[in-house]
Amino acid sequence: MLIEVKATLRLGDTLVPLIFMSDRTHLSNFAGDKNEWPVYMRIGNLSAKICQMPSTHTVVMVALLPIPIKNRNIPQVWLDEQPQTNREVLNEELWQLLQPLTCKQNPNAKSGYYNVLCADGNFRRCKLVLAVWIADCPEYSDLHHLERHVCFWCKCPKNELGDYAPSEKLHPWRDHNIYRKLSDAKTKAADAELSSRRVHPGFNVFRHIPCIVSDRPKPDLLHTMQIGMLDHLQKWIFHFMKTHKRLDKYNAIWLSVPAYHDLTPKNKSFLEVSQWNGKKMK
Amino acid sequence: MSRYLLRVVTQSPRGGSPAQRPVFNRAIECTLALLEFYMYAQYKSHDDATLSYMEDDLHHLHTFKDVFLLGRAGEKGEG
Repeated sequence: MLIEVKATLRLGDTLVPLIFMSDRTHLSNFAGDKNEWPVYMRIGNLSAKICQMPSTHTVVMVALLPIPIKNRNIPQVWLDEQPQTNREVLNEELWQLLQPLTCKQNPNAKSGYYNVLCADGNFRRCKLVLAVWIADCPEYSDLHHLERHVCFWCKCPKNELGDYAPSEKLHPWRDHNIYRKLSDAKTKAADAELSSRRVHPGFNVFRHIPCIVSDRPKPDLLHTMQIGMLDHLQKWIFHFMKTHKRLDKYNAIWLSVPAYHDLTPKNKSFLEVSQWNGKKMK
Repeated sequence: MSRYLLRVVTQSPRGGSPAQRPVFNRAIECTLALLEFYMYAQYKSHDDATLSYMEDDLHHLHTFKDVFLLGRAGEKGEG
């Protein structure tokens, strides 16, 4: 996608890929269950060395997304309508945020350029492109208007999730342009078609941004590996040892791992650790 | 955790009956494949060779993963 945009650039233009990150954060447990859902942004032209220094302020917070309140003691009819309202509110805010990138603002390839003052004191013509959006799985479902527990990259059917797919037999990408046309049609047949593809109808801001929506999520080390696959592996091994009655031995060896270099000695067995974070997984 | 998980897994089934050994070996193979994949995923840059190693590991993982499903059919909760 970036390569295609790059081909349209003229001499002297600069491509600015925008990287968005969002994650729902749990703040307090008993004082009213406070949550926060910040969206952070940085540009992809900077080297990782600069980006990782907190003092350089390369990552800025651009929005706090609304978190729907928990509804109790209200009629079921209202409850059923609530998810739809939540999606509309979320997209309204995202629309405010992402408006400069959308097709309405950039009707053709020529527009979407900004004169930007760069660090060397010169102005450059920059083209902004939504390159990456990093979040975790349920958030992608919310942002992309998909139902839960479906693949947001491809049209993989539910019963084949988790199976090995060789590279020549990968499932086709989800096409959000079709979803946009179907939701705009607002007919019963279109809605049925959408729900058969496990997509929620309604306005979605990502479908109005010139990019391949299903390609925006990128795997990241924290969510995909450390608290994703490694977490699963740990649970698998735990249950495996349990079925084969090896749990005591497993725990004993686990606790006997000595301290070495930056490995701290373990004082808790698998069950006693309440939450595994990325640092512990390392 | 990931750096010593394999060692813990290889040591735990020691002294089992010969009948259990193939099952444990499969579990070790599966753990090895996933951890190797994770280690490769942390590389700062990749070429065709490292990507093919990752692909192999993934294939390996899927061949051996069924060992963890044994005795867990119909179980609810985290999986």
